[in-house]
Amino acid sequence: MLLFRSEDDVLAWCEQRRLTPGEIFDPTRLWPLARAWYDDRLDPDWRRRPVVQRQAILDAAGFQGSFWRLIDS
Amino acid sequence: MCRSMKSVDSMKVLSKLSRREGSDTRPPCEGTSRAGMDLIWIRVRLTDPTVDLSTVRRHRSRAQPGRDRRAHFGLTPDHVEWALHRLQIEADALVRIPGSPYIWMAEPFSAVPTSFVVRSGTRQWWGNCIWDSLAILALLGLDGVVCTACPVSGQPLLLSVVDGALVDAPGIVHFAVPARDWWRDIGFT
Repeated sequence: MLLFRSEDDVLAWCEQRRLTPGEIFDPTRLWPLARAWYDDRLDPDWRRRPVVQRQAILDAAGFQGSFWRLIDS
Repeated sequence: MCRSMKSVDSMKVLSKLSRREGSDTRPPCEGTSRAGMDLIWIRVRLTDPTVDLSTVRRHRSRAQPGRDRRAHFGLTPDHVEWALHRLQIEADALVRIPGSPYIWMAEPFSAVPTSFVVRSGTRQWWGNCIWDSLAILALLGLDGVVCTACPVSGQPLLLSVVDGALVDAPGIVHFAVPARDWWRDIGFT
């Protein structure tokens, strides 16, 4: 989960590692996801959310599609 | 600089616990990487009530090996290993460097240096990735910046959070690993 200067740099990085490019998007989309995903992290009784709840957070932040599925449905 | 309700609530919890133990009342993230380490040691305290919380409040260092943690908390080596094991395996609250007693990450914080430096005022932390780095500012309810560089061009990239909003966000994010595999190799993810 890295930040690149441009899409060309992403493609170059993947080519260097012989990786298929994953998902590319603007950092502004990541901010609401970061806020929602971790908003319980300082709770003293924190436990990782059930996968259904985590999936709902991804969906609500607009990260939908097979790449963003936490489990095969 | 803003502070979210979540952060305020967390400070209340720490303050309450701190008063119970007769310790100081400084906020949890006053020093470098304090919040991450406090988070870890709160969990130690919760999973084992024999840990003296007052030492948590004075704890300032990062990624200490078991030996140093023993000195801080008066714990046996087995006790430290047990607590960290539970935090990793049972609570899923941290990741240790494989084959070592060192803490690697307590998401979203990294206990070891990374290419993602998060700064707010005089404080700074390391994030595990661009997502976690933004999350550090989000969960602490702080304005600040995330400093990184493009892994290909080396161009510095600075993201700024002001008044709780991401106002400056150059570059493009790449997630290489599909969501279902994020925890398969968390270091690469």
